[in-house]
Amino acid sequence: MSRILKHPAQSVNTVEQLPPSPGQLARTRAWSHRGFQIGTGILILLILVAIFAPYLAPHHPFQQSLPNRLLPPVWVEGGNWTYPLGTDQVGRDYLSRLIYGTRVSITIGLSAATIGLLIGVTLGVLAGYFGGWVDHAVSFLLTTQLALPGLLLAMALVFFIGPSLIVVICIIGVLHWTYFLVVTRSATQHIRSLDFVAAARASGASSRQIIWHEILPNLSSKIIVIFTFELGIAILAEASLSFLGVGIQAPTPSWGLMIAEGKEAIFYRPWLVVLPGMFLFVLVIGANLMGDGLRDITSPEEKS
Amino acid sequence: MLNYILQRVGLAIAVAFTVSLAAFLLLNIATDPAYAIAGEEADPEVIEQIRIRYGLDRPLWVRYLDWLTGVLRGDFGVSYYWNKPVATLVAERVGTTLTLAFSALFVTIAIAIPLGAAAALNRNTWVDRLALWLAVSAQAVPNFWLGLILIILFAVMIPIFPVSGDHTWLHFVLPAFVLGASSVPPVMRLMRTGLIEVMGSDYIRTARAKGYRGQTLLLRHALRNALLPVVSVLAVQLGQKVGGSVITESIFAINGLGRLALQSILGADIPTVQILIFLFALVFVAMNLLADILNAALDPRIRIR
Amino acid sequence: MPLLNVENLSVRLPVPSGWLHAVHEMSFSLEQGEALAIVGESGSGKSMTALSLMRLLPPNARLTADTLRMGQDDLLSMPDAQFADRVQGGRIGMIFQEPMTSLNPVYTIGRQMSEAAIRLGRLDAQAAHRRAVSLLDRVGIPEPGARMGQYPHQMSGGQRQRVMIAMALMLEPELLIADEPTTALDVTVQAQIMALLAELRHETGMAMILISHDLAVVSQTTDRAAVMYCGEMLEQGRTSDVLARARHPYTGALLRAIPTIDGERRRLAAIPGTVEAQFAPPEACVFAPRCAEAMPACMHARPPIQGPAHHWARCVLDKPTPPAEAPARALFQPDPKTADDAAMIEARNITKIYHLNAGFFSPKKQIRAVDDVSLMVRRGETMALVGESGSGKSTLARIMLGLVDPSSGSVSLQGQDIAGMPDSARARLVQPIFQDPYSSLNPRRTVAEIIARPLHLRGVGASERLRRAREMMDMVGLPSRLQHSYPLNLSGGQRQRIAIARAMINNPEVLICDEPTSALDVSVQAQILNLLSDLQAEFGLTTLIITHDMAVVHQLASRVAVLLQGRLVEQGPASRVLCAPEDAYTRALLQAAPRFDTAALAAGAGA
Repeated sequence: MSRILKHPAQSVNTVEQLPPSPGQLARTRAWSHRGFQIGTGILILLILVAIFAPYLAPHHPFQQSLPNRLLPPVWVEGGNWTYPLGTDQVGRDYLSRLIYGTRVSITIGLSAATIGLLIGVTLGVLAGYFGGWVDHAVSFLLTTQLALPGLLLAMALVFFIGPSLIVVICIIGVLHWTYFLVVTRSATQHIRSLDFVAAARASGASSRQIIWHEILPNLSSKIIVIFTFELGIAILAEASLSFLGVGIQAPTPSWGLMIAEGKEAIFYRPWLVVLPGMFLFVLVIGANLMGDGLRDITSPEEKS
Repeated sequence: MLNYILQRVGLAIAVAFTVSLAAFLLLNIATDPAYAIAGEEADPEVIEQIRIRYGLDRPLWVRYLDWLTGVLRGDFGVSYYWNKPVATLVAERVGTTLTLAFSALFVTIAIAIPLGAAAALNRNTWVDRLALWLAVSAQAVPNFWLGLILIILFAVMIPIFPVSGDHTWLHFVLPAFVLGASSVPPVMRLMRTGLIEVMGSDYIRTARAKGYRGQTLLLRHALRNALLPVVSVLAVQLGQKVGGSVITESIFAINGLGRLALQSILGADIPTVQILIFLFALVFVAMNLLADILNAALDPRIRIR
Repeated sequence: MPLLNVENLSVRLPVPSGWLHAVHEMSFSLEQGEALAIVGESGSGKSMTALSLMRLLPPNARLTADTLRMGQDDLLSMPDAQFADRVQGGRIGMIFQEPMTSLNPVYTIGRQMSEAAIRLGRLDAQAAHRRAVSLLDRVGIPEPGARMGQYPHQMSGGQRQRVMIAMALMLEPELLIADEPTTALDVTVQAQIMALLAELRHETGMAMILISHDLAVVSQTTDRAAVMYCGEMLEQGRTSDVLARARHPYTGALLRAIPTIDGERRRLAAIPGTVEAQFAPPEACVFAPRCAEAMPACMHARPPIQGPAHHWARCVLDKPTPPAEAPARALFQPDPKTADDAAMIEARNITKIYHLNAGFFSPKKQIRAVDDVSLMVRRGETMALVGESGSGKSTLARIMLGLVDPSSGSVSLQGQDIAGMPDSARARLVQPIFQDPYSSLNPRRTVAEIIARPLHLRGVGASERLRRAREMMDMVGLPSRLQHSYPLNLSGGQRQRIAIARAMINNPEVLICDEPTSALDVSVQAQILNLLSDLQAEFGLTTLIITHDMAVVHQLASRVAVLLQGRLVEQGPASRVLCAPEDAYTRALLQAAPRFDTAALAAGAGA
């Protein structure tokens, strides 16, 4: 076979540089994206707090001490350093409970978001790729799911089935796959219409091979972005359920539950409500900043 | 266009009833209503009597059809907990919730649309950054916590607005704000990206080539195109507010459908819960339909084929 | 006194790494009623020049010029408000490339046409309406009165462009800037629009600046031409002078790289390399990296202007010496004696019907994308499939590739029906080259992975795949250092080469190319067409090329088939069809094809 080199793709009189890969470009963008760095930093920090909770918390979160009930945090008159952020109605150290609370929120958030991902992405890719009746069925399922009042249904199910960790995770996960579905489905439809998928079919690839090799790699960055947002949503969902009394039950330290417990004393001891809320706020904003940052980094043309 | 609307209506009805079926199945499989009525520690015989008395011994599909035909006749069943017809319970509270929902929508529109537009027109300036940071923060704030913080502020520190009850319009200010704030981030972002896209479009370039600029360009040529998708999203948001009022109503002690829902769940009042889920779904579906119709009415590309 | 006087116009755009110099010290003038063409490829700065005259540049662009005057008005220093009211639309009108998106979809045609005149107080509502209707009539829109109340989406692309022209004329501008007005339109429509513009110019005495990449179109319709490359104006003069006696090597190279519909077939002289963006003000000749006649002097300083004012070029050389033209490779002709020479690929009575779902309550609509088409390509032949948009040519291509099932009819490869063939066997027989180089490569895979994917599907090992991929890259002229790069920053030409390599690694018998070069720059098109032609000769490939360009047919094809709205209207040897077409539509296509007005070019020789 002779070589056909008469039409070189580069200029005759200059030397071209190797173009950067998408990964390199993304890393460069990540280095200068303030929001992404802050968000990821917060998230990593709180995950570490969750993992090392036993070493960080000064007391055991369940340990009651009735003589020391309702102590204020250290910067308010009456507070002391033994209980830096004060105590709750039965004398448990607030700082320790807040630290252990990261475990609850992060575990439930990650697990529920993963369940949502598995359901939503699978349905989305199938609906987007195969179209036809599959798409119609999935669309109907989607509309039905969206019409269901999620919080209400979650409350009812958790209450009736029984509030355990697994139940809460599963129910939140099963009610939060719609965002994954919508984005994955339209992205799959778009990718499927591109010529490189047609070229793959012309080379003899089967549907399974195409979905795995051509479509999923082009979806991965979108899916990760949605995962971070759903993480925040799942965390807030658990907090809402626990606040209403149909989520995590006492004495486990869930931040939402702590806010509910502190609600009674809200006027004289506002820290009982303010502190857990701040932790929730920081964790979720970390996840959201990371998600926004990831979106800007991986597809700068969609920057919003 | 008529075709389009009829199709959407058919779909809406189908969805509403599928939802009712799903809810019925989930609720009646998750728990045994007889236990709920009798209480945890009742004797097995008492439970069995209750089962027969309330017709809970019949097969599931019979009970569903019974419920369905009742609903179509206007009979919403009787609450186990309050011992009143569910329809009465709903009628007493529906006005309050609707007031709250519309007020919340007003709050969302008043904040999100101007902010989103300002951000789009002043990209990468402090206005834009402020808007984005506001959106990110509002998305991260747990709405029940926001409600409680506002209660602390306005009951303790600056007592202007009442924080409990629903007799006067002032009572609705804080709850409307809390309920509306949660919708601000997505609507603001939509407005912003939509307007950015429109301002960069070819037809705006044509308008500029004809000498349009500044405010005239925006108002006459860009705004209508940018608002198109926002209008339908707002309709859907309104539908979600009706169902999402549970937390807000509970915190501010507003006697609406949301609070009723919470009380019914905690009181194991399945008929009420069932009806409320169905109603909320119906409202959402109706709002979706409204969104589709608005879209078709405002967008000539859909209105005229 | 010239109507428009531009001296040393420069436009810079901020980019992360500094400034992109889109236009550099451009100068030209325009007389009343004159038509000037600004010609160039992508990145030449021609569109930027037009936008800068109308103050339509992006807000962060920097515009500088020594002079920018239109008659008494100083366009450079005029305040924005005055510019908007006086110049935009009033003195200068502009029409753009994409008629499908240039009109506001939510307002009626009537409103969009009248609003500018009403806003400026030139006409009241009724007078504006009347004028709009008469203009719509003038530009050839049937039932203009009814159209005033319609919306843009109810009109075709050609009609929308006519509306744009009518709209631009509402305020009676002295100058019309047309930025690639016909690039997005079919050839027959293109001819009509260009004829319309010429007529309007004669009637109103309007001057015109035509931005185009198509030298043939320019030759027919303009008085003077300016050739741009990488932001610099390299040559300027009377159109006939510039095209017949080009002073700059770039212009000459461009002319030799374009396939023509007339004259002898010759080998297209490709320009090696690609267009480079200028991130610094040029300190040398911008074309030197790709110029066959480049000398050391070209790289040291910006070349001086050579030649008289009415025809000059920015070049070190006084007169370029074009290389001798090589004759084209002989086209494969089937041996008439072996009449039943087995067809390599044959389509029999292919019909494809699409059903449109209009809703539950109205009848389903049918579209016959392909209507009973039969054609056959013999081994080694190149057949061109010609058609405009809506002709069904792409659908037919995909059916022949086995990617879409026909509603009826069959396709056979080497006598075997494609329908029953396993995918892997079919892949070894027929491979595609698609039109859009930006969507035909998976952005998440490296070049080597993309090329070797067919081997991967067959279970070939990793090292062997890499070896074969490199072999293919050599064959298509891609430097091997790109093997682990991603398509992200590669040019259109490089991407098409990758697509060709990927197709060839299957060792196919048949290549089906769907408009393989229409999305590429002119200078790169020739590279790819030559590559395809060489591959075909080397490997005895049977090729089906889908194109709308009759010039490409003339260059490459031995046989032609013409499609109109899904039906085959003519088929036969290319030489016969191009000279003596039998079908009226084919005649119309040939008539409309832009060609160099050789008579006019020759006539201008004496002046």
